[in-house]
Amino acid sequence: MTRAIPVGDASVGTGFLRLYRAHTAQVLLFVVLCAVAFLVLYPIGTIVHLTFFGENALGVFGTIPWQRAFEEPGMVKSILNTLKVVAATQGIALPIAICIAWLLARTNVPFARTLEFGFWMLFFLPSLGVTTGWLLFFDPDFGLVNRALISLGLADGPTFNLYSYWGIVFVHITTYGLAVKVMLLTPAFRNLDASIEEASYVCGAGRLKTLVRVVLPLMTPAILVVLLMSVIRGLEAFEVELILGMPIKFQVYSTKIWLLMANSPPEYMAAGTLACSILAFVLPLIFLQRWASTRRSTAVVTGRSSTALLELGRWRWPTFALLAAIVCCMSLLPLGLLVTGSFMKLFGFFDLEQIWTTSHWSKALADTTFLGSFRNMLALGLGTAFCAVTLYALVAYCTVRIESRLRSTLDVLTWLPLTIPGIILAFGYLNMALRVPIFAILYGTIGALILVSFLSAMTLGVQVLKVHMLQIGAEVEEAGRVVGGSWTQTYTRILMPLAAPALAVVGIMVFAATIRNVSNIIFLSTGDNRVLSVLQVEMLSSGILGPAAVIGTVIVLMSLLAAAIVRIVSVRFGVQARG
Amino acid sequence: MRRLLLALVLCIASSTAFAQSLDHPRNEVSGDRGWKAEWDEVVAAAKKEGKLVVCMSPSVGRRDFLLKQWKADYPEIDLSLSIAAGSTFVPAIITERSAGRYQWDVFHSGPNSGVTAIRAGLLDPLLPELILPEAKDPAPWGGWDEAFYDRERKYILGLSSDVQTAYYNAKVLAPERANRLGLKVLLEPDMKGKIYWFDPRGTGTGAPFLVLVERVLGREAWRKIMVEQDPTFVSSHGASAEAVVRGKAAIAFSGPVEENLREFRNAGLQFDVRDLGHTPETAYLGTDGATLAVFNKRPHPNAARVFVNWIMTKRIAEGMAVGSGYDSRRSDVPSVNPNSRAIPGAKYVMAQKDENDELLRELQSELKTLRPK
Repeated sequence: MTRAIPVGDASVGTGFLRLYRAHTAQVLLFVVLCAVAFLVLYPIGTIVHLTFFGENALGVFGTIPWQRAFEEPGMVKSILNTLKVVAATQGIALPIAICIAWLLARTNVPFARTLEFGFWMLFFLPSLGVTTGWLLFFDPDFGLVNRALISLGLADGPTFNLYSYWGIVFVHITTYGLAVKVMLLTPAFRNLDASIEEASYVCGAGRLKTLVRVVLPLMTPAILVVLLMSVIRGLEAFEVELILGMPIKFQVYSTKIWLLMANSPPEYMAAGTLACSILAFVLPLIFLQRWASTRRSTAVVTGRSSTALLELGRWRWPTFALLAAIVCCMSLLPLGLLVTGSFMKLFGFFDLEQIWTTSHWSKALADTTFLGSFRNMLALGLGTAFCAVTLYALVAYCTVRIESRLRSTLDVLTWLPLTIPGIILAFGYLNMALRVPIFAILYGTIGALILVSFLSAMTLGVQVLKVHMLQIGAEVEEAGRVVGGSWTQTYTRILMPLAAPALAVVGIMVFAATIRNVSNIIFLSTGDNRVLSVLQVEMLSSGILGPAAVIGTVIVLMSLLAAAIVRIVSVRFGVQARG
Repeated sequence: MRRLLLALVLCIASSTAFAQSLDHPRNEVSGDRGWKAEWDEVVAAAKKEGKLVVCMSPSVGRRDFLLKQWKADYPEIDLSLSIAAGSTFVPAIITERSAGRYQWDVFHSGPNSGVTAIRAGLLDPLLPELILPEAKDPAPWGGWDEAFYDRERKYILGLSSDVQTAYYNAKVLAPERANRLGLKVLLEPDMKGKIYWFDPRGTGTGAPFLVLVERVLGREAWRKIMVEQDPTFVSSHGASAEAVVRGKAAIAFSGPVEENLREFRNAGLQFDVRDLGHTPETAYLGTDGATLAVFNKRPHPNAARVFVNWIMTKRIAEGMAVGSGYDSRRSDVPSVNPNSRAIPGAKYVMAQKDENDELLRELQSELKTLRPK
């Protein structure tokens, strides 16, 4: 494992100063731990309390909501379905993602950065929009691919049916399943010291053996973090199942939660118990992940790091063609469908006399609340991304660099916001925003939404930064101190520049995730702090589908624009990932 | 003497009549002055409050009209309109209040959420808030008994009136057969797998149709439809509308799909989708999620009072009907959608009224057991 160092572990300075600095590190860790514990445990504790004490006005302990939730008809079947979907999605997506990330980061495949950006695009696309796009091709009745196969005489009936178990798995892979893994693993692979691989080749190992025996073990923390995040996301995902599963009566655990919430009145306590069960299921996995990640050193960025890339030789262009085809099919095609769909009179109807229109855009832009919602969205996205980049880095630093038993606790805490579905956790956030005086001031303002979005994205941001920091050898920091740098100087001038690529990725991911998020902020959204994603939901609920598609497109384009700006700025100022 | 007495009686009678004839207009004037003075006072106090917070059900057309017209009529009072989904809104308010926050003035959302709000003790009676004679008169609303959706007939007023029925694709289901059988067509063997339903297990607009079918066909037939005919549940009324238009579904229950069908028509798509009929045997009478109520302990009581009177006037009711595409409940407002007009005097199933709430929950619960997947 990466050697953790006390903040003040400098070889210069007096013993008193060293002691002071060492204590400063502990104090820093303690303060960060207390803050994170409060912010994370308060909303989750509210939910847990509700499931045991919320049944009656007297607040007497009871387990009725738990019984009610698990007595829901079809619960066992839905749990099995969830496990089946998650296993298949991750089983297929993870090996593919590892290969793609390795090719992009460790080989000389042409236009690697452009291809990588293609996977970023996929991450920014809304899963509902992508699902609708795929239906256009693979709907059993009117899907273009099925119709083409029939008209060409290659099939008698529909060949593909997206309304099926494998259809659901396919959509999961092509939305969150693959994109987030490639997005997060590529920088991690890029950080790998090439001399380690070279040593393996010198010892006689081939490329495959080096990948399996040397590279993958070094990537274990990153892979485990990404896998765990994907598994948790898979346990909570319900949009795809709602569209593709409901017509074929295929329910998963999260659609059960959704149905309980959709009851009148909504069964929060029963839904909360199901959400808490996900937490209980995931907690051992979090500990397992932590154990596997920290049992040995995985530092790959050291003072002597080499950045040489593997020559693909004659396979260079075929590899590029394969990756480009994947990007085109999985990113550019859905993005194109999303944009062109916003100009279509009716999405998916190509046999109309007049297919195209700009009326959806004019309607959406003329909406009385569009401009205000757009401003709010920018404030929310930028505010959350700024807080995330500055504070997540500090939290990640504490979990990786400060020697203390408490850092494990801090690490586990940062996982928790991801383990409760957003709509349930939103209820906890509402309680926190109302009852904690310091946050009550923010209630009803954009500040409250920033706070909640910051907490919601914490797992993603902190874990990505943590993995990155684990890869940076302790000697890099030690070198800074040897030449007399203070902790602040070492942190800001050495560690942060080295972590800049990961910080950029985190900033963009948080921005994109925040501006399209609805579930976490739904309780705190009002007419005064309405953001574009909420306006989109309002339009969808009102049956105004065209302008709603436009709003969705605007959100995606804003994410892409932000990503492009960060890339341009990074390149211009030399803040690039290694390799 | 008799003449004298007669003259005296006539004199007294005529003087009384004269006095009464003088008094009557004087009373009218004073009554007029009474409500006007009260109205002016309330408006002045509302302007001092300067703010009004309203929650409403999703309808962008209605929302835009209200924001625009309110700003034109009362520019001094800032109107904050939040779209409130029933499943999240009432629990959020209960939580707010438990933390000592009271920030909502007017409830303008669906009747189901309204009933939940009453049970949580969030609402005040509406009628005492009415000042304008135009708003106070129950006649255009069909009488308060009919217009209120809660059991006590005093909290939740239905502002819209629309007849909700099923839609069918005339190329898949012959109109003659649909007209002849009405809802019984659901029991026909060839309808198995051809019925689409906006998931009725939740709060969506597909749910009240459970009550309609049960009330019209009876519980056994309802069970048979749910189990043997295997209706397909979808996650939005847009999805069910599209299924009917494309012919995947023969018939669909989804609530207000007019806006979706209009979009298909405006795009130039050729299809023949019809409604099953507006009779009490084929449709229920609803209010399109547009009810009106006032919160208790509201922070801007005068602004709320101005709003509820204002929104109940004929002028605003007309604008709302045009904005939302659904008829006003006011009988003096011209119909914007003749298809959604109720047959005068007909006794419809009021599937969204409080009285049917328990039945709806019972049916939803049974449905979960009948279709556990």
